[in-house]
Amino acid sequence: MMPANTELMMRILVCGAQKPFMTGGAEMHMQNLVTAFHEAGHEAELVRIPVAWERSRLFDAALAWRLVPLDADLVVATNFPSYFASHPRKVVWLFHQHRGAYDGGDSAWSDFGLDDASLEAQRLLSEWDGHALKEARALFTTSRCVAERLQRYNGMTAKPLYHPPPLHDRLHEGPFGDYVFAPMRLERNKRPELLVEGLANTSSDVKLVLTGPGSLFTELRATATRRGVAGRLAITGYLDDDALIERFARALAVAYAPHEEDYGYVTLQAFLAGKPVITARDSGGVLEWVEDGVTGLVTDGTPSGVGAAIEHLHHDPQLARRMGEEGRRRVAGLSWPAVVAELIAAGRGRMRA
Amino acid sequence: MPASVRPILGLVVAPEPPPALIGLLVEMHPWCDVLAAEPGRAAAAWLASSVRAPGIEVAARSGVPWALWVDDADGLQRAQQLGATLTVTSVATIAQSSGAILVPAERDAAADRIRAIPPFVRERLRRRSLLPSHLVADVGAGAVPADLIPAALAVCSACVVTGGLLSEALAWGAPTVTDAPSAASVGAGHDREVLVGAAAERSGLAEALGGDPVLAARLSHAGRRLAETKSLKRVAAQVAERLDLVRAGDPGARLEATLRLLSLPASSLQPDVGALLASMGTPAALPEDRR
Repeated sequence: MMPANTELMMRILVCGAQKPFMTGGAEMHMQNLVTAFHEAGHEAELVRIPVAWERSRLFDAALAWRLVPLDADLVVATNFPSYFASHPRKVVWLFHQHRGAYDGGDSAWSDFGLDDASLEAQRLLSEWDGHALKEARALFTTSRCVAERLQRYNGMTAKPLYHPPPLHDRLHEGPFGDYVFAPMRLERNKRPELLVEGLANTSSDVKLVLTGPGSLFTELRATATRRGVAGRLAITGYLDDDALIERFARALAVAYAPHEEDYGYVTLQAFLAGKPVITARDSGGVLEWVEDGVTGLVTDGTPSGVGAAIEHLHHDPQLARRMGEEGRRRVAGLSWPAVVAELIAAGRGRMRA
Repeated sequence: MPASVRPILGLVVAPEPPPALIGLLVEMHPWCDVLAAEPGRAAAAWLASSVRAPGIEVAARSGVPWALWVDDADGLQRAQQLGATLTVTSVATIAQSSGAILVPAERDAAADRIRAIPPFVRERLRRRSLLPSHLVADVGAGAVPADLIPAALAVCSACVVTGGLLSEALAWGAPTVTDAPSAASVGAGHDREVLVGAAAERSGLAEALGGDPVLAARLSHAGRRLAETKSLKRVAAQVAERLDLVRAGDPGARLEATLRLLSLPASSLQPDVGALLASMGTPAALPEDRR
């Protein structure tokens, strides 16, 4: 669809970091944004530059972005360090910053310590982020969770701009089956082991279906065997879109309890399929959608808590249905045209003070 | 290797240039060569010192970015009429109302020298140094010896500072409580860059501020940005960026200029933080590994 006035058509570059050989929510998000610009009648392309997350190479890609010539009417930068791109009409829609340097600074997966080099890198990154983000005509985030991190660590204000997840136009409701569905990358930050341990804390015949690629497949299978629930756990590996949609549609509920998730497509996809979501109170952006007892169950993040939530819904499928319906109602308003309109308006607006 | 070609900033100057202009021109040196306008001289950008500067039309018609120094409302209006790329001023009220870049009349050594430490890094610094997690420094009360004031401002959760030290506290990125006259003297506002309170309430405000990471981060960020406006180096960088002088340089110079725009320091916190911590009697740096 073209804009009514072709003079309003913009040439837009969507900028995002590339972690080679890795595909996840951020990559889908960028590509879907480009598609949304196309559908609104704009010319849009995705520009990506490889990024390294380790501390010793923290600023390499940031500097590269700084020097990349971006000849376009509008630049929409997304995740670290693409927002270091320099352009007079830069709008930032922040997926996340360098989490290992900020909120994940004390995590086992972060390589930032309390040594001089770490502290200086964090100090400098904070300064650079402050400059690069302040240049933007407008500063949006994917979620309130990301906006709150920006407030807490950088003292900057941003507006959450929500968008629909992949497959939003295809996901549909279905019968409430006997399994809890858990699509995710099988990696530590997604905490699939918590769900397997949660299953081990149930005594009924409810099943858990884990879907997605990842390095923990063997370990999860071993845990299930050790805990005596291998017969109630299915790990399917990669599913194509059709199979994924059907798994959503026939689930009893969806379990998704990552640590401090930025946004969490799985939650929105579950709601679009009319399913409640079991999560944890430290799951970040997921909690912007899952209201305990209303659209899902928010657990304390322990295996016993997750197990109790699974049992609860297993024994009360009507409750699961009511929660799923409420979830579906809450995501009904998400649309790409609304996102595009907001980003374009911001790009055409005045510079930030 | 061919000599580096530096961009030229053409200067159109009135007989009596504003005093602050000289300081700015000195700090423009890393970015460009400043040359007086002459017939036939090409420049990457122009700077006119006044709407009354003879030859201002040359700048306005040059087709390259140009800046106009305005110190009154008439000048501002004229700048709009002439289509100036940006305006610079030494009058704070004009800067606030128009978006003109404010050029400080005097060099603030603290603003040029100090590298800010945001609250979340302060918290980690305190942890690494075995200092209390909540550390409020009442600098104005004389409780902190003079030689430890920089260290206190660098690592505290929040501080109470009045008078001439306020600029330094803001430059360090310290979440700060002060009095009304001090805030006014640096152009800071209550709940914007600082918290302002009467003498009896400042200590309590600082205690609360130190325990509120969101408010501390917001004030620290705003305070650092305010401190930057006192740094002639930063102001010159801002003018250079707005006049597109970085792009006007040759490819080799552009890389260096890009780093400078991001304020890449020549050195890390060391030895600064090491010296600071040593002066506080805290343990030496931990080995460079995880805790």
